Amino acid sequence: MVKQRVIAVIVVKNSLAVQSIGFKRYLPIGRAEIAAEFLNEWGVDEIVLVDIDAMREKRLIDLDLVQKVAQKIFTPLCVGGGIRTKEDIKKVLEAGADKVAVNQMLFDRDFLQEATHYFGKQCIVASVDITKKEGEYRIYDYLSRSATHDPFTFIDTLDVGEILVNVVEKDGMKSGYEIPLYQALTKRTNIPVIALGGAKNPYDMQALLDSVPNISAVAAANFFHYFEHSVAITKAILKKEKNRPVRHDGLLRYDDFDFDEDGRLVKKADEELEKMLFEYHEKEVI
Amino acid sequence: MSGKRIVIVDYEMGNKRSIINALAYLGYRATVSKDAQTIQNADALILPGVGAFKDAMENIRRLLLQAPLEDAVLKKKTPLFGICLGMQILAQEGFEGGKTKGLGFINATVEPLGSLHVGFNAIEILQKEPLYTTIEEDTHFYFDHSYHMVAPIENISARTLYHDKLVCASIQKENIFATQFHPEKSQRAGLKLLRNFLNYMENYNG
Repeated sequence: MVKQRVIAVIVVKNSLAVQSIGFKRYLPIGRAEIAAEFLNEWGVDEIVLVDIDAMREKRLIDLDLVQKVAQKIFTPLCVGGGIRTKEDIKKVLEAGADKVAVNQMLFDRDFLQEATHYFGKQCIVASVDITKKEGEYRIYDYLSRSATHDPFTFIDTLDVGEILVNVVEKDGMKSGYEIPLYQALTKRTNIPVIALGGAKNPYDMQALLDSVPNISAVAAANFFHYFEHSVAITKAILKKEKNRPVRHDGLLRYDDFDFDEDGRLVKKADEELEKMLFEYHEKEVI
Repeated sequence: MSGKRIVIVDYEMGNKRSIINALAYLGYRATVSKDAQTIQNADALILPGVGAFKDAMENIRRLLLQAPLEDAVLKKKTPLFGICLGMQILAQEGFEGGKTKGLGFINATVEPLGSLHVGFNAIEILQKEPLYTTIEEDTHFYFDHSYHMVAPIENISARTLYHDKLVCASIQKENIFATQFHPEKSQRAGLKLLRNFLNYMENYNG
C-alpha cells in the first residue's frame, strides 16, 4: 500500500531558512540548500520549500534558490511563495520543483481551475493555514490577519492535488499535532491531506499517524532542524513496536538503537560500542 | 562522461531538470531536444511527463514528434525510457481529458484510478531483467498519478498495490521501458534503476 510520507518543510525568510514560531517570531537556521541536502541524505520523503515574505513583497520566490535546492535532492520538491500567475508556476517548475504550493491564490477559483487544468492536478498543492477562534476552526489569511472562512466548506469545492494544512496555534509550539482537525478533514475530503504544526518529537508523529489513519503525510518544519539525522531517527521510532506504513529504507538506519521518552538516542552499552569500533562499511556506488 | 547521446524528448511537459540531475549523478550528459534529427540520432531516448494525456498528445502532434519517435523507437529500435505521463502516452489510447489516441507503442489503455496515488509505494517485480537486477523485492518508489496504464501482463515488469488494485508500475517491450513512478525522485532505488537502464543502453547492439 502507498506509504504515509514524512515531509520536511523549509521556511525561508530573507533568503535564509528559519524556524517559525506562532507565525510571528523567526529564528535563523542557515542556508536552505544545505538543509535540503541533509534532509535528502537522512531519507526524507518530500521537501516543501516556502518563502513566507514573497507574496507580501509582491514577488516570486527566488528561482536561483529553488534551483540550488532542487539540484541537491533526488526527492520530490514542492515550492511555494508569491505564486500569482501561470507564468509563475511555469518558472518554479522549470527551476526544479515538482509541485507548487498555493496559499493566497486559493481564493481565486478561476486561477486554480486554469492552473490544475494546464499543469495537472498533481502539480498543485493547496497550502491552507488554520486558526482556532472561539473554539471554531477558521482559515487564516496571514496577509490581512483575518480569519473568516469555514475550512470545511472551503475544501468542499477545492479541486487540487493535495492539501497542506498548517495550524497557526501549533506553529513552533511543540504541543503536538491538532489531531481533531485532521480527523475531521480526512473524513470530509478524498484529497490527500498533509498535517503540519506542533511536532515536539517523533512520538507526536506516532500519535498523529495512529489517530488519523487516512492522513497522507506528516510534516514538520522546525523539528527536523533540531538535531542530526532527525528524519532517520524519526522513521526508526515510527517503525518501532508498530509496523506503521512509512517508508524506511536507505543507508542511514537506527533500527537497533534505543530511544528515551523524548525521542533522544540512548547510548549503547560500552561492550557493543567496542565491537563497532572497527566495523568495515563498504561505500555504496550506484 | 560517456560518449553516448541521451536525448530527453522535449514535448513541453514535465520536469526535465531532475532527470538531467539524476543522469549527471550517474555520469551521463543528456540533451533536451524536440528536433527530429537529434531524436533519430540518439543512443537512448527519455520521455518525461507530468500533466494530462490529451495535452501531451496534442503537443506531440503539434511539434511533429510522432514520426521521428516511431522511426527511432520502432524502426531503429533505440532504447526508450518513459516516465510517468511519458509511460502513459505509449498506450493505444487514454481517457484523461476525453478519449485520445496515444503513440500506440504498447497495446494498452490509460484509465482513471479514482483518486490521487501520491507517495512512496512498494513494487512487486515480475520481470527482473534488465531494470530490476540490482533491486530487491518490495523496494519503494515515488508515485504521483491519478490515471494508470492497463497493459498486457507480458509487458508488465512491476506492479504496485494501491487500495485493493494491482496497478502497473513499469512496463517493458523489447527496447521500450517505462515506469509509472519517478525514478529521479526515488532516491537511491531510483538511481539504481536508471543505472540499469543506462547499462542496458551501453551493452545494446540494436
